[in-house]
Amino acid sequence: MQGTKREGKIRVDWRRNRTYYFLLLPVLLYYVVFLYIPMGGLAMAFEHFSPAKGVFGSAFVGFANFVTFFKSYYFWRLIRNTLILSALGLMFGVLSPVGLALLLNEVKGRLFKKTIQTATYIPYFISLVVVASLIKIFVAPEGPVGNLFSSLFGLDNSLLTYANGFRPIMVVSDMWQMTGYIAVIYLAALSGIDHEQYEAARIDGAGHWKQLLHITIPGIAPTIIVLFILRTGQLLNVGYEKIILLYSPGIYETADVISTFVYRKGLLEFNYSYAAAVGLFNAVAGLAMVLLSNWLAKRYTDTRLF
Amino acid sequence: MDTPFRKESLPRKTFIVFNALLLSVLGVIALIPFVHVLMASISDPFKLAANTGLILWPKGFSLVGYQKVFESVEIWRGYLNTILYTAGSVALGSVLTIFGAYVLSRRNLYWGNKAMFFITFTMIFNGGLIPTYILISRLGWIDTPLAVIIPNCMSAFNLIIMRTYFQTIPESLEESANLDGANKLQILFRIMIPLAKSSIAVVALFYVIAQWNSYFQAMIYLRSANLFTLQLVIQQILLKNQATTASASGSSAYVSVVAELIKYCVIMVSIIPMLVAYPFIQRYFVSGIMVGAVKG
Amino acid sequence: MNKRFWSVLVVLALALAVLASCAAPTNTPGPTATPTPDISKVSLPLADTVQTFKAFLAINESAQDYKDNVVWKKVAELTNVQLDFTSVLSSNYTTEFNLMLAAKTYPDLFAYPSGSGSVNYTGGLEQAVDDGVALDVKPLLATDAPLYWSLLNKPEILRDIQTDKGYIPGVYQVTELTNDKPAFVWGMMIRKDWLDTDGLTMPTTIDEWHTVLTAFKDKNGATFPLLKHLGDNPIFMQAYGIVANPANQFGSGVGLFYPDTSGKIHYGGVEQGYADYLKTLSAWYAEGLYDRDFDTRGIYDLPGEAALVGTGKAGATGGYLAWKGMFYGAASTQTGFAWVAAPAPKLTATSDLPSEQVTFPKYVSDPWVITKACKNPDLLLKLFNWMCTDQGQLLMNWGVEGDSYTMVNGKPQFTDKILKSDKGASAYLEIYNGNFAPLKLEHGPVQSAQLIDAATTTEQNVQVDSVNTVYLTWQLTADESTQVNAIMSDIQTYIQEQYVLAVKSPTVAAGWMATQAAQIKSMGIDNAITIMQTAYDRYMAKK
Repeated sequence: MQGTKREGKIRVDWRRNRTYYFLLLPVLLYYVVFLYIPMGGLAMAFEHFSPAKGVFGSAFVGFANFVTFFKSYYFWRLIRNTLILSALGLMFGVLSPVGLALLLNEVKGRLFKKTIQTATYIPYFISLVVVASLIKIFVAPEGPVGNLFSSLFGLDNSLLTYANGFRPIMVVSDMWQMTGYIAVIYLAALSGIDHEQYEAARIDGAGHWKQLLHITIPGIAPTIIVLFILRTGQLLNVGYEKIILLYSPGIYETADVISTFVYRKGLLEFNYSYAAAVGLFNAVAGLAMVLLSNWLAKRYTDTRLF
Repeated sequence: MDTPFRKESLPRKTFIVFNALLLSVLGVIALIPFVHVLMASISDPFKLAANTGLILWPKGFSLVGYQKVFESVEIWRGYLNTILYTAGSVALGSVLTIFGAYVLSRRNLYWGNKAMFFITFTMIFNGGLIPTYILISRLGWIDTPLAVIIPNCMSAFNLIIMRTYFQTIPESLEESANLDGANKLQILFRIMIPLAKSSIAVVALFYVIAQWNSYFQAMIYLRSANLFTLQLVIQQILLKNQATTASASGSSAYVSVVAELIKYCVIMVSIIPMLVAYPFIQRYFVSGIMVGAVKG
Repeated sequence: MNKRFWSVLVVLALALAVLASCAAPTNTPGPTATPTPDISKVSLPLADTVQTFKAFLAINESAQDYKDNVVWKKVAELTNVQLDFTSVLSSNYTTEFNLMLAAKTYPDLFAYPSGSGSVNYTGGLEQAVDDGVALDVKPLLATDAPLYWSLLNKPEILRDIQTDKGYIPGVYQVTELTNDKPAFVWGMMIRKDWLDTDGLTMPTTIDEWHTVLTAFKDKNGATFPLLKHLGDNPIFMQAYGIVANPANQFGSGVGLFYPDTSGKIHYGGVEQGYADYLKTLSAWYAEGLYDRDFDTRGIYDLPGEAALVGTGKAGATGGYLAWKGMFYGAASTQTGFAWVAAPAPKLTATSDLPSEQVTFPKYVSDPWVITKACKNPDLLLKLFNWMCTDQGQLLMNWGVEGDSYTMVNGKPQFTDKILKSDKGASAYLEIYNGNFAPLKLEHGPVQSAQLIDAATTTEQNVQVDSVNTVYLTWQLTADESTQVNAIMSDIQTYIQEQYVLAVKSPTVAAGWMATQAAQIKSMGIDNAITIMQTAYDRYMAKK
């Protein structure tokens, strides 16, 4: 009986929403072709993949590649670096744009607001390659930041050669590039808050602080939560393309993360199967994190991603 | 509606002043790297090599770096290619994103949540480089613009942003249109899209930037020099700087000193179009958000 | 030595050899070259209609796309065999090659370089033949390419190109290396004018280098007296008996190991010599003599190094002498600048010459591999055979008569268009010659003599004569390479990292044998060495 009831529901839904599904079709097709078909290729994580033999012809080895990774000398360091870097990214990547958006929201002068918004947003437009070269230029001993550190603390080398320097460099440069961009999303959310709410609060005698706490922040909370959940999904990828452009063996101690390890094993050493296995591990862990944060959000707030 | 500054309380006044100062500092910090690079790019190569610290004014003056950069035909061709690919990719991506976001913002769809999961899942889980490459080559897209235009044309992230926006449009609007006899397509094209114009612009802009700045796709899929994008060309110029030498037995006078300078010039050349276009896009962009917000 | 380094070397070797090898075929033939006139006549065109083959090749960053190459256009005109080139920058070739294999979109022909953009089919080309990727051309050579085969069919050549199963998995270029030693090696270069003003002689031992570098720092104000060698090659390490750099970023498989004179395989990372080398380097680093940016310096950052040398901040580095011009170019503000070759240092004055490993065959260079996807391999081989005729050799090595060369007294002579090109003669020549000639032979030395002045040759010999060159082209089987890769995966990350830490800290360097070497042993290096030994013994047994 349950079954027919469900079937009936599906039939009604189809009749009513056919147009919607036709609109959705090309979108789903895109995802099937460009994202789900390659996912099948992950089978090589369980093989001794030989490019010439392909995914279907290579020898199946079960979880051997995963076991190699778990037993690897670097397993725990990779996990640690990945988690620390992503936790820092999560913290600053979510909080600093909220802060900037709230500060900008308090500004009355339109021209000033627009100027600051423009200035802080511009770095987002810069490509990764260029950002990486900017960082290198800046933290070199002759560069503006490197020069400062060398005169203050006597650090004669590029700041990128100190293991302790890597995380701050990543965090600060990410903040420089991304804060203005994400703040714009919050600003949009802020401007979506009903002005009448503020009027009502003012009539009730609520000060700026109370308005912030009770109207503004709840107003953008759904946006914050959605971005936060999304960010946890990216958590384990921690912008590895940037790390690859910036790191060097001397600072692997803090800079080597799972994704860079995958890149080296896969694209530099052509150990496809091993790289695919580590990548798959990374992806599964990331998936678990998103589901967890989504579940938490659903549990404790009204907002969730799915 | 707003209180004039002089009538504000003292703590509030202090906050406003402090806030303005803080924001100004942040604004300056955001811009200083550009000033540094701009000034370095028009400096004299030898003085530049001897310089340490921030450059707020050119050290000597020379345009030799720019001259070298612009002498290359590849840069101009790269510009044209990037514009074409970006246009194609953004148009396609925006249309798909609008369709997807709108449909998935409807609350009464039986498959809605499942489809949403199907899409967001790809943000945290995908096949990686090799399987994707095999797919593209089986499609016969290697060394064609299609490989750059289509495979990365939409992102689940932007779809979610737009979906979130569609969700804020009151259902009552749709219901009343429904009562007036409008069908779903008419509602989408006549009501929803005009209402969402601002956020569509935002999403399109994100696509433009992503496409403009991307080089990895172009690097692995394009082979013919006449198809190269700007970022790829820039990469190669930087590479060439490093490698001219690999076979040159004794030529290339003072290339190495100029090479440093060229780095700055190449950076400027790659970001200038964005910087120039930005104020124009931004006006529409920000005011669009505000209009959308008031109407929504 | 690292693979990439060698690949650069090979490309250079090719460039020079091409320069060199195109020379008069009428010259006294080398030991490997005795073309027989009977089969040397080939009637053109080779095909009635234009036949097109797809070729997948690496190009040097400075070189022109093969599609625009003057010589290959001429080849198509003359023979009706046209190659449709896909030219990949050598820096991307390794990646592109592997992706090409993964996608199974095989061209008719691909380059298999061991130098710049080096590629390594797992298990070697023998495995590629067994996997149905590469074609064994040996059975076809005698009928399709008799002229080429007559040159190739010599024991000393076959030993290097024939696989264990007797395949010849590609078309190799036959070169001639004169005097039984390479024309040039990766060597040291130094500020001669500084030596003179400091009253010092050319350093030949590690201790003398220490004196010299200290003087560069104290008297000449150098802040980077010794730069990290370009290509991360082990010129100083060799003095300590370590022939292959174990911390080489691009090294893999055989490139990380080396045999000693008794044929025993070693891995540098667990050798006392390597620990001693690190001790010296870390002491120099602490004294401000060794490149303080060594850990972030690009492996081939030639412009960067040239700028440091040219502005008086650095006094010595390792690389190819052919790059001298870059350093002079950067030094326009230095009065009396003199940048010359230095011999590879020995440990002490009485030590033996250090060994330098060369990972390409002695008489041939990298092959072009015909794939099984090729519909008409016979015609391709006929094309290569034609290139061995006098007409073909001249075209492939020297370019177009009257344009890139003229005949003077029956011998080819480069025109000023090549010699005085502002791109540099060798670079410019690549636009003309096809960058691949099945026969280079004695063209190589002749071209070198025209392109490289006598003084440079003398300097190159300073470097060449300071080392023992060891030619090695051993190869692992697919199984062996899987096992070695599994062992080396962590070890490579470990040593690359620890090497940096050791140079930066004398304490780490001093404890290398007790800590790092022990760790590497516990990670299973001995098993890898055993596998390498088996493979090496197999290679040596092949006669």
